[in-house]
Amino acid sequence: MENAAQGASAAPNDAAKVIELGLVLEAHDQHAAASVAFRRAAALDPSNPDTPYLLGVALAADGKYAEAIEPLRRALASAPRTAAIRLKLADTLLAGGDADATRREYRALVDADAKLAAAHYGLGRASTGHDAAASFARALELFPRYGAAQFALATEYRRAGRTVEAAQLLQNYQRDKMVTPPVEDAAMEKVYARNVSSTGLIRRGQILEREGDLAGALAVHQQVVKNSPKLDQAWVNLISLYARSGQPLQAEEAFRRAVELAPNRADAYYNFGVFCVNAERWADARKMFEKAVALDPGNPETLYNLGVVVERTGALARARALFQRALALKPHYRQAHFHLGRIYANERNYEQAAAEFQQAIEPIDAESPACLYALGAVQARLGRTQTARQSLERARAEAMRFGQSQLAASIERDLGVLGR
Amino acid sequence: MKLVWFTLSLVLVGCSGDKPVPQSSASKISFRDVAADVGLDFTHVNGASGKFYMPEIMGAGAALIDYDNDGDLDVFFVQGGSVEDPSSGPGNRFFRNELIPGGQLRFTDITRTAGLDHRGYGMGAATGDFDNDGHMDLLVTNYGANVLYRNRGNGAFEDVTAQSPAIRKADTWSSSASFFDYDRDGWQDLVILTYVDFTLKNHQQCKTAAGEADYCTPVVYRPVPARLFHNEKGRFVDVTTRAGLDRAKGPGLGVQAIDANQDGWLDLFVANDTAANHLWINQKNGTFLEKALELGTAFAEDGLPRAGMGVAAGDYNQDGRDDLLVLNLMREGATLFRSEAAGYRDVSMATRIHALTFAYTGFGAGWLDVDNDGWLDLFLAHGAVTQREEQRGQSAPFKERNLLLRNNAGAGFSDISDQAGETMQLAEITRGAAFGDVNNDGRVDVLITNNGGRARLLLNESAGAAGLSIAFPGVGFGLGVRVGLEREDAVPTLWRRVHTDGSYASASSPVVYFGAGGMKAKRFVIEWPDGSRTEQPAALGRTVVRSVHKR
Repeated sequence: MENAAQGASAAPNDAAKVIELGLVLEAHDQHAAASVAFRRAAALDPSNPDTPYLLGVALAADGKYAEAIEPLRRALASAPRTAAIRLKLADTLLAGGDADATRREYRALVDADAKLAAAHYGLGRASTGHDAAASFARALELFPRYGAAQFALATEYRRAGRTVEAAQLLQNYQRDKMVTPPVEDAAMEKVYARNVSSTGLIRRGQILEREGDLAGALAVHQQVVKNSPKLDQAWVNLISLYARSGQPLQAEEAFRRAVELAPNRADAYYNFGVFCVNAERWADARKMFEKAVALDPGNPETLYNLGVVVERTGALARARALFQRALALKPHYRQAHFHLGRIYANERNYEQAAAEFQQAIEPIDAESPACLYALGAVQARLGRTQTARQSLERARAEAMRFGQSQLAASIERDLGVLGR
Repeated sequence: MKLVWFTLSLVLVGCSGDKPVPQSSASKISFRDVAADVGLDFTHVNGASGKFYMPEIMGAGAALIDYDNDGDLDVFFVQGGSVEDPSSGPGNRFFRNELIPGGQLRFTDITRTAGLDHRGYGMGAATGDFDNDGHMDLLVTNYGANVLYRNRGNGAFEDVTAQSPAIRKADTWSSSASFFDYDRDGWQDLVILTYVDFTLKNHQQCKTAAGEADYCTPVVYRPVPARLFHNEKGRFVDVTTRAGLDRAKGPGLGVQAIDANQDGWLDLFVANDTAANHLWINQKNGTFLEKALELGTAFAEDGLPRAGMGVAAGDYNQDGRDDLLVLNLMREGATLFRSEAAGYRDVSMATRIHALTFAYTGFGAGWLDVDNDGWLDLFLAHGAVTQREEQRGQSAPFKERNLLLRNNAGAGFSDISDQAGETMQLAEITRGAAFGDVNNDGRVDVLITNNGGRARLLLNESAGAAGLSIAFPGVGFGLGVRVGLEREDAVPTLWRRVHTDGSYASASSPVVYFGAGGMKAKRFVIEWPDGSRTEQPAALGRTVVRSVHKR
């Protein structure tokens, strides 16, 4: 930042130097100062098509929505086919509360490129009721892991009384909340490239990971640890990135470095525990999750993971207690209900097992057939033949609907046994 | 035993009940700081040590409380001091309002004689009548042990924390609190928010982007669940686990008891800082379920958490349901959740709340009808928690302007701060905001507290006629009662709830105020906590409904 400031001070009439300062300031969230630089650069060189856009971006990021509209419109006039500019204009109009203009711009985007998920999401935000839901649904068809669209569609479904679908979407949203579809934006790439601070790069890496660019995320994190080898957050993230990229040795090394720097970071043990589970190193996984639970006893996911690993060893009482603790923290934790049900069933406590399986069925998705199957099985053991049959038939139907033919065949076989 | 509310008597103060209130949307709005003129001499000490202990930037609140039931509002200030040595601080302060019977707005410091000279590192205040004796009691929340005061009714308070020891909890950092009767047994229960697990031992050193030392955000510490206390005839028992409130943790800063699902039972909304807000739905059996995600108040419309701090519930669009305003961090904008049949909808952008508040970090907040047009306007108290770039190098680079937003008949809001007097132009580090008519002129005034600065009493000197108000002195002060104002000409009934909670770490007057919007006021409809309904003729000035309950 100092270099950029010196460059602009030394040559205050050099548009390129002033833009460079603006880019660096914007990259470090100094939006007000960046907008001053971009405004000056635009005056010095009105022919640069990026400058009004960057000025609009900086003003909008500073909450000056009304001021941002004019440069964004100017940028759009010079590059009318650039989706990123119209998207920023529409987003800015929305934030400023101009509903009609917002709808017009999102509609124009959708008309120009029907495959732009962000435009459909925006159109949904500027609409209400059925129109909003349809736009959000379209955004999700185009980019299924679009967290904000999942949340928005869930909200619309809830209002429409479609609570099961809403619950399913919210469950996905919990996983994908930070995931957004990539939008090509050459001007902003220049901004991102100028935040070479380690925290800026980590943020960039996290964005790439959310966009599904695992290789890009990995490369950025590798750059971070090269620049700042003592940044424990980078090593913690690298455990997961290496593991998911099929580089186990590097994942191990990242874990070693993470705990060396920060021995009390529960997420390091958690990430490495997941790696160990995937590598079927159950004893190591247990150690990792035990440590993570000790460091952060209030994390339901860690308790659940430890429960799963402990359950495998046959220590059912301990596993049961862990699942119960996870459920106390997160009452609608579906997988925990399922595993707890299995333990009760194993202990021949069929009433409790049925109650747990019942809570694991919804929302209806690919996991539901197994839960219904388990429920039917314990109902049969309780002698409730009629309800067991109903559960199994429903399990079979859902299994077929989700293409789980082997499971459907098993259920069919058990239905036959129940009939005898 | 079930307690039954009933009306004992009705006293009308004021006259001209049959005259329409003049339309006043074009009236001059003015708030003027009179604290120094009327003897309210209080400067908050944040104890800024250079070590950037997080509590230093978070306090403190205040309370408007008519402690002697003489009809005027007295003032309690929560004081800070040293985070490292809380007992060495200058102590809280209490000022008696001499308006009645003196006839002039003037405050006298009676901290010592009132028994309120506790020294701790203070955060907030909450008021309620927990012993049902018709005298308003007081809770002071601290970084450290909280203190519960019983109003003895003889001009002094007594520290009764020892009788409810669970409230004390010396190793926690409490923020806002609320007295509310969640099980409808006629005894006001209590919820105390606890923020994060900061201690001197686990203090983290955080930095700005430029590498300078700065206050941390709450994400570097662990959130702590709110604590719920059941009132067992004047003593509080911790029922947090039994009631299920420990099932979700959050760094809670703002709390208000509301009836989110319109079932007649009070629920709890908690604004969490950098985490999902909580909406605890009362299950009518002593337990609560957290339903913010399902009901639409957990996150803003983009599905992301905000840094929730202050909260204000009020019916901004006159549909009979209380909407929720949550103040957030600079560059997030405040969130306005509109109550609808199937939960809440974030309407911050459409109403321009987002754009108007984007530049500020919000704490205290309240709905008040400044122009008496019947539509609730907003007062928002602001002050940063991390250094503002443009103030870099200043001794306290956290200063921001407070805002007064006019409600444009439910369609959106506009900023009228510039037209509301010089005081509204000041940039300070405001935290608490308490609302009430301090000079009994029928207009709602605002008491604000500034972190590391002087408190201000913003007297509402707006032109135009005053509105109507209704008060419920006596046992319980009507907390939780819902009041509707019916007007002629079939316009919608205006609904307000009697409360002292909300805002940030502060307690407001329980008196309910209405502007009739130029319509002729007809009657008050009163919905009592037991579900019964009564009516009173409405008149300009203050209607007093004295309430007691059978034991």
